[in-house]
Amino acid sequence: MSHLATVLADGDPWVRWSWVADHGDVIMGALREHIVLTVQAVLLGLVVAVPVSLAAVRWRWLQAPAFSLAGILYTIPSLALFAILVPWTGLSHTTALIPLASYTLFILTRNIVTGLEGVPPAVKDAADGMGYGPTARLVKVELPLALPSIMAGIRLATISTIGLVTVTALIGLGGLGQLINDGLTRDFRTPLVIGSVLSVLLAIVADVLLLGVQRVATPWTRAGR
Amino acid sequence: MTKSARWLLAAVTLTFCLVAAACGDDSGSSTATTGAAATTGVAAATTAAGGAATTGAAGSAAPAIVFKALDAGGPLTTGALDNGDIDIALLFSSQGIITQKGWVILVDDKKLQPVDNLVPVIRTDIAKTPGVSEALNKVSAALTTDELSKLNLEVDADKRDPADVAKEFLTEKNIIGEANGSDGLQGVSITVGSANFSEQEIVANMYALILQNNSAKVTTKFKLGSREVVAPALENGDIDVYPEYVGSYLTFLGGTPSSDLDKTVADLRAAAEPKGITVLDPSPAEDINALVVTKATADKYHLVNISDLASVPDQLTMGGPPECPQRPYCILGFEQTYGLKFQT
Amino acid sequence: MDFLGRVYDWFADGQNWSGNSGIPNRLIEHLQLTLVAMLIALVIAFPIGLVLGHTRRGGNVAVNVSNIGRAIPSFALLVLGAQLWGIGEIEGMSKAALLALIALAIPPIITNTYVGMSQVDESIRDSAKGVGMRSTQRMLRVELPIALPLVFAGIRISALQVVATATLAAVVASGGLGRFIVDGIAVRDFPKVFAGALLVAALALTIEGVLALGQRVMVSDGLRAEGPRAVRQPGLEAQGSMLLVEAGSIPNREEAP
Repeated sequence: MSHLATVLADGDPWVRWSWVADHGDVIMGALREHIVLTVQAVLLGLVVAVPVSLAAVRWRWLQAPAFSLAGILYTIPSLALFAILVPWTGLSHTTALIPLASYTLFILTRNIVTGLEGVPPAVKDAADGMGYGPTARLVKVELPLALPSIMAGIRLATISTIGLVTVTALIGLGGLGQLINDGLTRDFRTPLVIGSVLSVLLAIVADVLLLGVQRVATPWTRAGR
Repeated sequence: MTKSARWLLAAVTLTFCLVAAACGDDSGSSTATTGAAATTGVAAATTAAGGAATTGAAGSAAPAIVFKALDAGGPLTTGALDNGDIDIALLFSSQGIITQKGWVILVDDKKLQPVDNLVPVIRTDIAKTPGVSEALNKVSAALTTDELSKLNLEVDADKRDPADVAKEFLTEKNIIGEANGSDGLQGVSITVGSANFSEQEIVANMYALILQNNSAKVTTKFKLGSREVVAPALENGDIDVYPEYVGSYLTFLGGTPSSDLDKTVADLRAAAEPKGITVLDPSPAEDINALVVTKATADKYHLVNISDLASVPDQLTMGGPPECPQRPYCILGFEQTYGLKFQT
Repeated sequence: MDFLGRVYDWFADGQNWSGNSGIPNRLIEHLQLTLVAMLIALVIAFPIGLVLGHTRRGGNVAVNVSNIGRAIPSFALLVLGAQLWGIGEIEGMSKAALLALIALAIPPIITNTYVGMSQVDESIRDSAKGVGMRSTQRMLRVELPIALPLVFAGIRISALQVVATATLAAVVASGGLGRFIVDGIAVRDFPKVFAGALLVAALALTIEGVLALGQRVMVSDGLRAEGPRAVRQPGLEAQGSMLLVEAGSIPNREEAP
């Protein structure tokens, strides 16, 4: 513990503001890359998850294998998944994107399916009775009612992706993980602190923003609180 | 609690006890392998030899030195040496922190390390562009080992940016600046790369700066990785130029360096040419692998030369870059030339 | 598939099964880190979640801090550890790795335990009071068994997080299976990287499987009858922010499997 005291006492200051001022462009660049990678991963995840979930609702036997596969992908640690892809896709953007998107599948598929299955049969019948075709019913009735669950899934997927993007620094990608990696390779506290704090802030902001989107998109859910 | 729950609890407790037994001893890694023996018969036979102190065959009577993969002369390695977590560190002779901390570089008495002067290596098709080679050679000529040491220290200890340090140096030496800028390289696009330690970034920044000073359009791809990453990147055109070291690079390309700088450079040029790579002029600055110990360790075991390690009775730990076990001037060389034994 | 052939060769090479950097030793190191971190985290986090959930006090703060803690990237915690303790070890385990792992393991356990305990139906709590059970008895013998699915879910989430981060810990010179991946990337030995990744994946799936089995064994049949659902009650769509939890709402992350 005395070693810890020594390190904390005469070590590098936690934030050298002069460094922050000088490297604003580097920091902003990292933040931008981080956001881009996160958004791409979640969108890609949705692109896969939505059709799979719709199919799984329609043909219930698909649920077990779909959830299992997504679950398996989710269980495998991110560094391992990146490493598994590297021989084929090199140290590239794709190598990062595919695992990041896969991790969202577990959360997204479960939430979309649960949301859709949570639509009361009475409501579906009413829609049929009103003359809605299956597609119209899906789009105008079922999806909106499933929206709280779907949005919750998107929020969760986004937050966890933000954390995972930092690991991609190890395969040479940018994002806030590069700042953290800089902290490691140079034994330098400022980029470590900046990278970590921004990562947490980004997660909070994303969460609150998406919550706002959810509230706007589903005004009826606020009534009963 | 149900019967099956009780079995599960027993199984978990048993596993925990096995693991706890494995880490109960405080001689670290060698006991972890003994723990493995409880669970894997295969491990038992083979690790018994690997874990305990071995008296060597020819050469070293000392126990095998335990190697830990850390980083290439970075804070993990230097910090570990400072804290006493390792006894020996594989560092680079031009790292200023060695002098700053009063550490001792063990003398390479059997002359394992080749001459390893800094030199720009560049793709031949770019080297042909008039003005490029001259510019880079100017930087090369201005660097000495001492200057390099100082620059390394500024980056490592003071956390300064390699780019800033490089710029200051070149400006002081009057190599870049208003007076010697030109547009000779206007329209020329060059990508400058570097390996993953601070000295590389500093020198590569110097290359970039002087090329930019002559109006070239420079893209930088720094800290790509170890030589295993950067050298292929040069060969396949991902980068156009990066700083290399004559002896190590010649070995990497399959040749045999010597202690004669001119001969080594000539051999290197011959080896690089068929790959479309031109080796420019070597710098006076040199950087070789150095085995470093603290003064306390040197005093304790009377260490002056690397050969002295062979008579150390205790098991020592060495930290270095992950590629060290495979490198001819790192562990492979220490094993062959000095007869030292390592446990990786 | 020449590459897969080389991966097979790597596994077939006897050298990779012996010594400090052999598969058995790395596996033991990984398991040791995981188990020790989980046990310490449980000892710290479980009582906190248990008592807070039972008394239904301070939960908001605990869960918020806990969730914000989870938003901190594991990589950052490892680097912080390395800056503070370098490659220092305790009982053969990297201090930096161990501390980061404990820090990461705590939040899911606190959150889930708190939520599970505090969501126990009011009528059940009242009945227990009515029967004359004391506070501690109610907590341990009535509320905890009911909260067990969520508690266990928290432990599973925690364990997965720890196994994954223990892999990552190799970048700060820790042992474990991650070493194959990190060292392999450093020297571009991609068969080694791939082999390491396969080992890590296999370990993670095995541990998840064991925990799932354990859950089935330990959780009472009556509670299991409700079946696997990601979102069970209306409140779970989280009307509040997921990271900044309002009292009473259950963060969606903590699904009962």
